[in-house]
Amino acid sequence: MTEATLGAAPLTRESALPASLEGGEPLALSRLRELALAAYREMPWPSSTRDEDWRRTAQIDKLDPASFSPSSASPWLPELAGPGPKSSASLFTGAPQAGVESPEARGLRGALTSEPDRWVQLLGSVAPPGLRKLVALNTARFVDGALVHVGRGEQLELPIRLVHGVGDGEASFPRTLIVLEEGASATVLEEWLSPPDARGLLVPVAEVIVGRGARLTHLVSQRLGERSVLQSTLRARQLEGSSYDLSFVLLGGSWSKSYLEVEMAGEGSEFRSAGLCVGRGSQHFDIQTLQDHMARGAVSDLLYRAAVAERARSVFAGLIRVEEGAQKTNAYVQNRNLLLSPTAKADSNPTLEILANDVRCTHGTAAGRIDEEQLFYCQSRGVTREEARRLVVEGFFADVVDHFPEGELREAARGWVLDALDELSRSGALSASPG
Amino acid sequence: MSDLLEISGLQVEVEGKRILDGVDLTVPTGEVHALMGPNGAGKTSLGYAVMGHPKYQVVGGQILWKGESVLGTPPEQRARRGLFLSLQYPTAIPGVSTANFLRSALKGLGKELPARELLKEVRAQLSLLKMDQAFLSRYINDNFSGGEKKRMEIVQLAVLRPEMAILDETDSGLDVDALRTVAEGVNRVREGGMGVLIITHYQRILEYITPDRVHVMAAGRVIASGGRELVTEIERTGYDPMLRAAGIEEVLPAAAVSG
Repeated sequence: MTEATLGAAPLTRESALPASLEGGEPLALSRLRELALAAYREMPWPSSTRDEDWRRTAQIDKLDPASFSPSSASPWLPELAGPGPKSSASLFTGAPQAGVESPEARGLRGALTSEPDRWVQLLGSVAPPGLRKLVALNTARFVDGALVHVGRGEQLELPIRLVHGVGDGEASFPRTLIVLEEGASATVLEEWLSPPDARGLLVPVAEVIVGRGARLTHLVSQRLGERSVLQSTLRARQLEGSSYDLSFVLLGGSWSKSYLEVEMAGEGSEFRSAGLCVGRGSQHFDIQTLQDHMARGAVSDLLYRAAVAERARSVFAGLIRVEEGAQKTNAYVQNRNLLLSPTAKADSNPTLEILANDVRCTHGTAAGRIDEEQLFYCQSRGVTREEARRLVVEGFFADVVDHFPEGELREAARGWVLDALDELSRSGALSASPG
Repeated sequence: MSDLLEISGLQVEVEGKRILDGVDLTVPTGEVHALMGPNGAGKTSLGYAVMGHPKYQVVGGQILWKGESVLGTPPEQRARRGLFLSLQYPTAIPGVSTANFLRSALKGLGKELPARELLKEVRAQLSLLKMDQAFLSRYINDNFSGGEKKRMEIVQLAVLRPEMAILDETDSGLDVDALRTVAEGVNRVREGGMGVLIITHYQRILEYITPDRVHVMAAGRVIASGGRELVTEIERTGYDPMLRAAGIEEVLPAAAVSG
């Protein structure tokens, strides 16, 4: 038995394989897991003092995955998630019987078992185990997840809904693979959840491949309970002329680190993204984005708005990288933060790394408080100070909400945001202090 | 007629600096009063103090509204009791549409309307003020021109229907046609018996909205009050004779606050 260190606790080679699959996994998958395990052992545990990625999120130093028990079933997940918008398929990781599969969306485990030659090779092709420690961990330990595969030229009207969650005392490693073939088009809603009081660790990894001329609309909603921890990686690869529209809503968790990474691998591909975060109490949101321009003439635009109340903290690092030869790149990254209390904090660090000479890249950042004149203006028209603050915060998010996919998804996402603002009001975080 | 707004001996400080120094001013129900005076006289400050802007600290005197003191009450409560202040420089609130803003205001005032009726009312007022219907969904005052902001203040006045409006230089920056449109807007709301305190530098708007009384402020207090003839006098001689008569040698520096 070979041992590696998983945080402070031992991870055995055998336990890296989910019990239910032991011996029954396709050979190719077993090999991938071995690779992942090796990569996991090679990489040191992230450190807030050594790693730039973790400089402002020291919580990582004390995170110990071994203090959670691995979960393979989440029968409570569908009820927690609620009915959701009208969809062509809905998958609940850990509660497959509650879901509705479709030819385009099915459980990952089933797909890997029945067609290993087709799917295993794609796992880790966008987010390889060596990308980072927690991706290796997910690859070694995932039990199930979702596969979305939309064939060449196929246009899906209704969204596909994928729900992942973690329960109390558990660690969960859901895996998502989304593949759009040439000219395909689809909309995917992905939700990360945990029950309100659950102390869980959710480590989702999603790999996305948007084929030539394909169009993917993706909405990610993070609504973990207040005591759970999230370590997520979403990494996409865009081929020639493809379009990827990503919206994200980060609302829950005690602390979280979310990587959102896009490879503009094909000429003329287009990436549009907007996301928001509402934080209160001592919530900590760390988001790190990458717009990696590898090919000519691609366009990318990412906007992130965070409103933090009480002692909450937002950390943003957004990198635009333009590789050699990626001429005519047009890239933009912007982060705006709204501090709702004197003790709330926001760090923002958008950066450019440009190796081509004919490009247009810009970044912007700002942090501010609610303007007293805006509050007075609302109040002088009859709006209470607390309502006025809420109105201003809602206004702060307007351009992100406008970016959400139209129709039922936008209404759902708007609902989640309004719920979070209600929660702010209820907890007194909007009336507490001036400024 | 009963006295709607009654200001007596009002002293106001901004960041420890005395801005108003004993203002006495009474506007009876339904009357239109004009408030004039050189820059830095404290006119805008008076409006803010009446509406309860937190920066304007009342350190002495009284503001009675319908016989009750408003001191110590937040602006939204003063609005609910019927007061309205049209700002000289209306504030933009990005991301909040005009429709949404007015919905929140009416809700706060306890005058909530069904969505359809609200939209109908705002649309009607927009066309009366000769504003494009697109302003309904535009973010309130965001990237509006100066004139559009002033018109939007009157649209709000008409939708919210207060009992008394303080109009702070609503006429400044408007061309002749816009001025008439805005004045007509105010007059339509006045038909319901609304009182008006109109702060202005110019005679022009007073040709459309006829004042019952005219007051002149300088150095943080009212130094002269009279009928319409006061306006003509000011046009003719400027403020200097009045200032000298009041024993004011020099107008207070404009300080941090204008008006």
